Amino acid sequence: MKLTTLVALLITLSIACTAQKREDKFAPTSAIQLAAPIIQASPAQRLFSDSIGVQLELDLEGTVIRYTLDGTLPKETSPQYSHPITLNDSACIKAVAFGGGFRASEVASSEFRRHGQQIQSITVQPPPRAPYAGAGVSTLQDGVEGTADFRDGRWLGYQEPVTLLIDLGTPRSVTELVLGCRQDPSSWIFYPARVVIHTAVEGAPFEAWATFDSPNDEVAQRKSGLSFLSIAGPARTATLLQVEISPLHPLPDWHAGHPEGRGWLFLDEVLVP
Amino acid sequence: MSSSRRRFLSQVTTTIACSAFTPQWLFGHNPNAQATATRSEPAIIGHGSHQYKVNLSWGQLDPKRFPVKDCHEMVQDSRGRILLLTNHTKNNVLVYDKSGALLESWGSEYPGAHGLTLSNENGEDFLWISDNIRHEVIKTTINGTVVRRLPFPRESGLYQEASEYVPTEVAVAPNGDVYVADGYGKQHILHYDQHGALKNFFGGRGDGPQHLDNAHGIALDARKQNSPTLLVSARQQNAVKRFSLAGELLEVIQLPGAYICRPVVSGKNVYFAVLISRMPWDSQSGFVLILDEHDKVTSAPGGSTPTYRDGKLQRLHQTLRLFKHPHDVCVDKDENLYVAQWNSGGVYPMQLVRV
Repeated sequence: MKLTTLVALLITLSIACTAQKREDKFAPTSAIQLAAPIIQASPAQRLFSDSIGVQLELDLEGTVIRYTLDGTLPKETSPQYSHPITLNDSACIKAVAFGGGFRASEVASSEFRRHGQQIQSITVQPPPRAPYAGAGVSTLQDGVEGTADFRDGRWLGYQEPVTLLIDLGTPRSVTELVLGCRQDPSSWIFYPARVVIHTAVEGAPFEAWATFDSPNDEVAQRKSGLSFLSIAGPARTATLLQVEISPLHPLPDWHAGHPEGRGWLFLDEVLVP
Repeated sequence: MSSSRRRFLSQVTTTIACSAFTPQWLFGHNPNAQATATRSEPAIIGHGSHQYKVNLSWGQLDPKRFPVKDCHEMVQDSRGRILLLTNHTKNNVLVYDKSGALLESWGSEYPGAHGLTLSNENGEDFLWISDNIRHEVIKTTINGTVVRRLPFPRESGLYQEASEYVPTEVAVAPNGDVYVADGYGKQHILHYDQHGALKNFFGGRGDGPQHLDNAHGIALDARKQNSPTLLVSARQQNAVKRFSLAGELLEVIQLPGAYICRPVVSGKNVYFAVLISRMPWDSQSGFVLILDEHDKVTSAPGGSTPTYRDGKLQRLHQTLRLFKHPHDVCVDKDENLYVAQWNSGGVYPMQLVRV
């Protein structure tokens, strides 16, 4: 009798354990992360002239998208996305998906840039390296951004330091220069390592205005993406900007091209807002 | 340089554009930091009638003893066993029971093991392995004994050398005819009789609706009795195309956003592993897709809610970072799913238990 009870108890226990174990095998919601929302303008571009409508999307019941326009990271208290965002000026949209018991998504970010004022002309030395020569230097001021495909003919590729001479036509106050560029480490394309800008009014010597040095950060260097690199300086009246851009060289020691390989600098657009 | 100029230069500021140049965690707030310590409910993924719990422990093995590279395809044989094909030549085929316990392993001569198709001839199971490094298809018994090779089809006149022919998948028709998809080669579908003689070819590269771009999979669709057809993936075109057994295009089913692998016909449904839902190829943006008997998307486990507007399927996207690069779905007799993944860190298949 005692033995029967014991056996029954053991069976009950083992069933309970088995049931518990089986339950444990299933992934809880907290173990799964939401995908980052998709940020997409319509039409699909990041450069615009007057205004642009931007959609945020992650279509999963029970989740919400929260976003910011000021470059800060979205929190659970940030505005909740409900309908397309109309941008009338340049902005950086960041979005995070929350909810459903899942882990919050990574941050999606995308920058939208309003065209700057007219640039009269740009000259480039040396010329871009074939086959990444686009339609020549006009590619940098045609208002047409490059796509994710670096072979789309909208990008200019360089392997040596390059100097742009930007002629604004008439003197005006400048506060910022924007370089449309891309990074794609597996294709040996990196953001610029260094940018040095001098300005002048016509007939006067060039004077140093602003510099940019890429942070030598492996996490940042491993990321692929398209970006508008913004380099700001103190407001100054100028007619001419001389922009010296250095590609990353040598390539980082973790990269297949280190140390002898030559990486690429890719530019699609230059803006002087 | 004058001192005033030096002071002036020091005021110059540089703005970082939308953080592309700075890792986001430097900003201090990481939304993922809230990963909870408390237990939460089992996740249920998918939509409508096809929802699943995620069993992460199914089929886990010691990677030192039974390693996998890409887990390319899976089938369930007539004895209920689950077979996994991987391009790891220590064990190209892993044979599991339904609980996920390993029964046996075999195969070391399939470096490009990609496609795994089951056929049944007079009650006996056979396997068709499409090897994209050997540039040929190999038919074996269920235990791995080679019974036939279909080498590159020189007789078609389409190919000069074997390297142009990169087969991805096989489908076997009710009469024993064999269809091979050259999904990483010239995109032809090669139609053989049951003895291996080339009868026909169709598809191929081009701009017409009947042409294929990345014909990654092919399957016999016998859901409509007496009128079996072929479903062929056109992965790069985010579409699956229906052909007659004679190779005429019958229908194009658009699946925007879904870079589908092979069609898997089971019951009333067609299942797909979706490798990615956006470029690039290593974007880890995949999920699973299920069509109903009318070829409408009815569920997308790990993906967005299927939505039709004016009869048009809206672009699908990944919503959960559960799968990286699903490469095949196996549907067992209880309608549970097994998801094999490409380029996902040597992970074993994931079981989705239907709820």
